[in-house]
Amino acid sequence: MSSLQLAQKLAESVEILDAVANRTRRRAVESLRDGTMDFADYEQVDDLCDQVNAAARRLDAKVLGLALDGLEQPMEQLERATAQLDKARSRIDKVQNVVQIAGRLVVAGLAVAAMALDPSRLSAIAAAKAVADVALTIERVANAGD
Amino acid sequence: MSHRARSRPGFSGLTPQLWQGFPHRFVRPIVVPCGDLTGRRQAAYPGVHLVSRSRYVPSPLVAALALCLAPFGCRFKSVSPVSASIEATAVHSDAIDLSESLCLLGTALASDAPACDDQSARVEALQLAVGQLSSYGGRLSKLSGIRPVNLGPAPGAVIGLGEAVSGSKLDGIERRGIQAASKILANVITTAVKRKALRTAVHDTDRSVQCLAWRGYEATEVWRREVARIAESGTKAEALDIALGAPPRPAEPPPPPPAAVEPSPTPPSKHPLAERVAEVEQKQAELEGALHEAEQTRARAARKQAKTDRRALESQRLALRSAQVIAAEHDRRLAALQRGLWSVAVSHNHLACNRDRLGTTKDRALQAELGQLVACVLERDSMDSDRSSGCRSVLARAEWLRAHACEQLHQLDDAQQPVLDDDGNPVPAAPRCSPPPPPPSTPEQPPTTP
Repeated sequence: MSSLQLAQKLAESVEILDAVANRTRRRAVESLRDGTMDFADYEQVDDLCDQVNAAARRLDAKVLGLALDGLEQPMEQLERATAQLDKARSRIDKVQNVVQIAGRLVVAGLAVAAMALDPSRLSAIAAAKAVADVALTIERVANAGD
Repeated sequence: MSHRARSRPGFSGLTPQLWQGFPHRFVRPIVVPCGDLTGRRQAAYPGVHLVSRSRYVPSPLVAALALCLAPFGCRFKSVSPVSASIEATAVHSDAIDLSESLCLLGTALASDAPACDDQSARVEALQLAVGQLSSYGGRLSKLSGIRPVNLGPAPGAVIGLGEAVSGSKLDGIERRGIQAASKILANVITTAVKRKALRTAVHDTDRSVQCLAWRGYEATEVWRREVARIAESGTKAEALDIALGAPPRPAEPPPPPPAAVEPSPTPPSKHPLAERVAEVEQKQAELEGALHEAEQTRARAARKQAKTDRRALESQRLALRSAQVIAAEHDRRLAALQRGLWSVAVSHNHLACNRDRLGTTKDRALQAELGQLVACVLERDSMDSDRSSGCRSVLARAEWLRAHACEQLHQLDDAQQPVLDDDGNPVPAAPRCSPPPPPPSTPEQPPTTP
């Protein structure tokens, strides 16, 4: 039986203790109302009920201890799962980065090829822009990786 | 209504009209892993092999571009009820922070010795657990909602490369077709990564999530019982109401002033003891006066005491009523936290047990089922007879999960030792998906013979 199940069992006893104390106190109040009990007697009953509640509270402290005992294992498991989900997300980001770099590389390659065919000033500028674009993309991706 | 208007968001990038001009030689069969596939939809996309499973048949030419026609609207919405429940739990977790104060209030009202000393460490542990649960839920939500890969200039560049190599110019329709196929490819990559990661996560963590959720629930039950004890101050205040409302005890009437001592008749002739008698009578009168004064002082003191007692009772009653209000307010917050924890447990388990439906054509139906499960949690405080028929089994199952939570978090080998994976971590046990056992039938008691 796990500590949680022990806590659940103990909690049942605590509930019964509290219920008995509360019912007794309410009956005493009824007696006070209809005059069959005076206030001094009621206070005695109330004190006894407080003692029962106090015992229940002490047991509840044990229930809390049992219930929250052994959180480490499930927390570790959740931590691992969280890391795996992060990893999947970064994998998607990586794919995006790779695709973007590849796209820009192709653009740059096309620009350079065009310049080889037509070594005009405009082609040279276009090729330089495309290569600079590749460099900037790689730099941005590298910074994002940091 | 046009096909375009009817088309789902997932097909918005590739309408039937566009498909007519699509370079079919590049793409052979195309598979849709999720979306509503009807006969009319199939007819609208001739040449497309619309099936509901992820089964890709690549064309040799542009296999990389158009392996799959994944709908852009495939958002893994079945994850949202789970992540929303986890978020709700995190929102109400501030109720945990106040539990220590609650304990102090409870013990102060009952004049009990403080039993709250070791609460801090417990509270901190639960806060950590809820924080971890919240991080996990946040990651689930983020990954399920992540957008497809942004291809940037890649499709245009590839088209340009193709044009440069072939020396021909693609016309507008072909160009748009290839661009759409590129987007689809990107979506397929994203979908595949998302689906695998999410399915693995919900499967592997379910037992741990159940354990944390039910442990948290048990802890909040302890605090709710403390709140209930504090709420009993209402009963105590009621008793004080009765005591204070009772007619005040009749004050003792003040003693009558001492009758003036009548002088003894003057003897005709002076008696030899006359002087002594006069002295005694005078003394007696003085004593009676002092006695009267003392009586009056005592009566005043008694009245003052009664007033003080009444004021003390009134103050006590006010304190008890205030405590009752605080308890009621805090109970609402704890109840909300508990609803969140129940929702987390119930919805996560259902998602884990149906992980194969996550991110498929059945995803939307799964989302609806999860929504219904979460709605059933609202009925958990009702009597079984008052619960709706659909929710009875859901809540019975939740109780079953609660009863078995934390029993076995990891897979065990024959020697009852945890099975370890390659990284040395224990392999998580599969989620509890079997239905709860039927309630034990109570055997008829044999008649007892006297």
